[in-house]
Amino acid sequence: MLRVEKLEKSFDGFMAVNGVELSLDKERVVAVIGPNGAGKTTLFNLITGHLSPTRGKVWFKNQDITGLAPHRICHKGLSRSFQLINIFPQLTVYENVQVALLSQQKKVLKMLTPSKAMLEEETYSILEKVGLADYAGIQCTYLSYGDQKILEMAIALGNKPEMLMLDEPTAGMSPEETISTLRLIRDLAEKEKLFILFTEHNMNVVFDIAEKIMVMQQGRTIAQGLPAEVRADKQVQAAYLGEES
Amino acid sequence: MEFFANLPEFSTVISQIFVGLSRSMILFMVAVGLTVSIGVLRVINFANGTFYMLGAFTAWSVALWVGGTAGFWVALLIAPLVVGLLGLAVEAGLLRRLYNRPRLMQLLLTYAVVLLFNDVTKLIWGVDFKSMRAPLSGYITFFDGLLYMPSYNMLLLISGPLVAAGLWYFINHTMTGKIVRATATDREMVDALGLNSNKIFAIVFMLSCYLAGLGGALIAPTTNIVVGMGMTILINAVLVVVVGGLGNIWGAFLASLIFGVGESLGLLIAPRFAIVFPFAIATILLILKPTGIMKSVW
Amino acid sequence: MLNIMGDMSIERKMSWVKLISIGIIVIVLLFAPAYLSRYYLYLATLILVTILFATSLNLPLGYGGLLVLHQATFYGVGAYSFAILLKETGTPVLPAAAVALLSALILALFIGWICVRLRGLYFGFLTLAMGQLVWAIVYRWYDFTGGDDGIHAIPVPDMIRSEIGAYYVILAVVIVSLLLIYRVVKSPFGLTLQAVRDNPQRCESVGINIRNHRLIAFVMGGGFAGIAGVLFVILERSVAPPIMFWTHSVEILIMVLLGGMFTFLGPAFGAVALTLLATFFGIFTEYWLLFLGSIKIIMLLFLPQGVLGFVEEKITSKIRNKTV
Repeated sequence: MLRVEKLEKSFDGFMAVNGVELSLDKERVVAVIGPNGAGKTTLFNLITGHLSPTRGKVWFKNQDITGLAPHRICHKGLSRSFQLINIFPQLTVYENVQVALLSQQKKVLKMLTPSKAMLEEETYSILEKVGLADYAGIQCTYLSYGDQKILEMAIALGNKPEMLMLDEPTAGMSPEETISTLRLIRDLAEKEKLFILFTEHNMNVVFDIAEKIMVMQQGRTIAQGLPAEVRADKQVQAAYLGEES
Repeated sequence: MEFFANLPEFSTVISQIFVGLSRSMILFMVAVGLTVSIGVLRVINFANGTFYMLGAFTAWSVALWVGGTAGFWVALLIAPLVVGLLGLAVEAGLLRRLYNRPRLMQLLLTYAVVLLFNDVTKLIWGVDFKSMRAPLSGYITFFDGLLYMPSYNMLLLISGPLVAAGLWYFINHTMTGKIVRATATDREMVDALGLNSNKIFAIVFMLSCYLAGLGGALIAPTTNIVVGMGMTILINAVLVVVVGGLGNIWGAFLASLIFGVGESLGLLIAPRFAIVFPFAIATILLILKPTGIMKSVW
Repeated sequence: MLNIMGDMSIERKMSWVKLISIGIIVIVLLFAPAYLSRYYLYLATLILVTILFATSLNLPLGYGGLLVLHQATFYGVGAYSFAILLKETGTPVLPAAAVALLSALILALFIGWICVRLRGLYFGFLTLAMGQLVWAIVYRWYDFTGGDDGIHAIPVPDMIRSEIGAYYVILAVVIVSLLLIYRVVKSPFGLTLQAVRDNPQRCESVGINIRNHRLIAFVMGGGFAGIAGVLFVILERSVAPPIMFWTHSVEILIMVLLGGMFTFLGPAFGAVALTLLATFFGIFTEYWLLFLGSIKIIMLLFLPQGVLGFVEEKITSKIRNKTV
């Protein structure tokens, strides 16, 4: 599905991402973890085309997508959500998701048909999947913080992706919201057959649902493998114990 | 070979360039006020052209009142001060409420101030244009007649670098100037240090109005003083400021020179289309470097 | 839980109110020549042209979030192309109008193509510089545009020469244009355009080509401004450079902002209000800009979201209070 080869990104000499390798094939749910500033978000931005790498390659479904514009990568079936809430504030919840669907169906340049009823079913089906259908007509900034994060994901789903990249999907959520969000992520992987790559800082959460984990520190991969292997890794323990002490 | 026959003489070219340079000093005085208020206050002040116009009108009145050649010199001292004080009132009364507004709103509000002052000007001075005499007459020549220009333009030519140097000294070498620079980078920090950033904003705005007024007073003897005069120089000044890099004083200086020389060369090449040249230059430079030729603060 | 059904019924009531008021407006407009004197009919026609001009700006500005600082360029180019074709070549009205529209579109495509890679104010400044460049050329190209004298006594066919004829033609074109713009705003393109305005970065990552979108909105705005320019010539039978000077663009910007730029009819409202204000102050006092300036300052200070935006906010907050 996704293969990242020796990816590097430097900002004025500072190596934000340094030789990262990653691949998703059999495992559907993969987590990238690491302390703040480890380069997780930069890695995401490199994969989705928001930044172009200094060196290295990104392959998606065996196509080289390195350096493509974000909207092109998205149309190939790779969709993402953002760490900070990144929605369309003046649109309703319904329209937020509808825009993504319209884009996916290449209908954004239609000018003379009213958009209101367009793709209504698909939009509602996504809203129901994530549990926001009841709020469809509300301007999205009136949603609670947790629901806005969910909407964030719903927009990404609107692109009918084969792979979903979620940047800290549970950041700032209450424990209850976190649990239901993680359940949602697992459902999406199982029922919708999506590949999901996500970053997370809450360790317990990650070990519960990820099938494979990559640990980053200072731009490098320090461990990669099954949850159990990663948990046992000396370097990882040192990194995290070091941070806690 | 007709083209070459029509080619102006070398001395005409040189002199024309210098006249262009001298006029660009006036443009610089309006532009620098604009750029300083962008850099420090973060407000694009469309009213700056209006303060320029008010400078010219006030100078005319003062010169008339004092009379004689001395009249102009007194006007040159007083008019910018009057305009500066007026600017202070505008800052306290209106601009202060705008600092947190969206940029477009700020633009339009300062434009509304323009409308207001244009009519106040009509009320006071009427709609007919005014003119006044230059304190220096005649021409001066340099280098065996290679360069000749009106003496008054020589005065303008000197005044620009003087203003630039004065401003540079103020900002880099006085305590107030240092606080101004600090306010431009981080207003909250300045407040946290117990300095009154409101006061700094008022000083900077007054200064920018003073400079616009000075430009107006200096241009007064060379042009028709009329209500619309602020709008024409303002659009040039706005483009100078953008081309020079928003908030960058030296950028504004450089861009003013480019505009001035461009326009005067335009006068030689295609006299009718001379006013096209500054806009063409601005367009080309902005396409090449949208954020300006020197570093912009935004 | 929110009461969604209650919300719907209020919305439906609102749309009835809207329909009825639109009906009344249409009747008032259709019979205007019956009860307006010649001068006021002229004024009404001028307002119609200004409404289309302001709405043409709102498409890229309010819906697309593009800080277009010099919309009058396209208005002027439409007007000038039409005027020159009628006066110098004797082209019939319809082809001349079509060519005028086309020239506004082409110029908008050219300027837009260069400007859309820039963001925010830098976009605006470049439109300002390029618009002024076009103005300066028009202002000085005596052989072609008449220079600062402009073009006068433009021959307009008899049918649209009378005040009443001009009024109905302009009314028809403005209404059709507004309906078209409304359609576009409510279409998938329009919805996506608002999404681009709200969050360009996110749009890219849901697969929208934001540059394309902005360019199309800009060019469409330019085209409708060009049509407004053509209508202006039909009404005035003369053109002069001030219609494409930058201050004219700022005047229109103020109308859009005062009326409310996130609403469809806001700019139209602003155009009506400010044109009327200017006219009445002009009648009563020589110094009308003084009053106009003060009124603009007061309104911009106290109603930053525009008059219609303000009304709309009051209504929606009422709805919200009822349903939550």
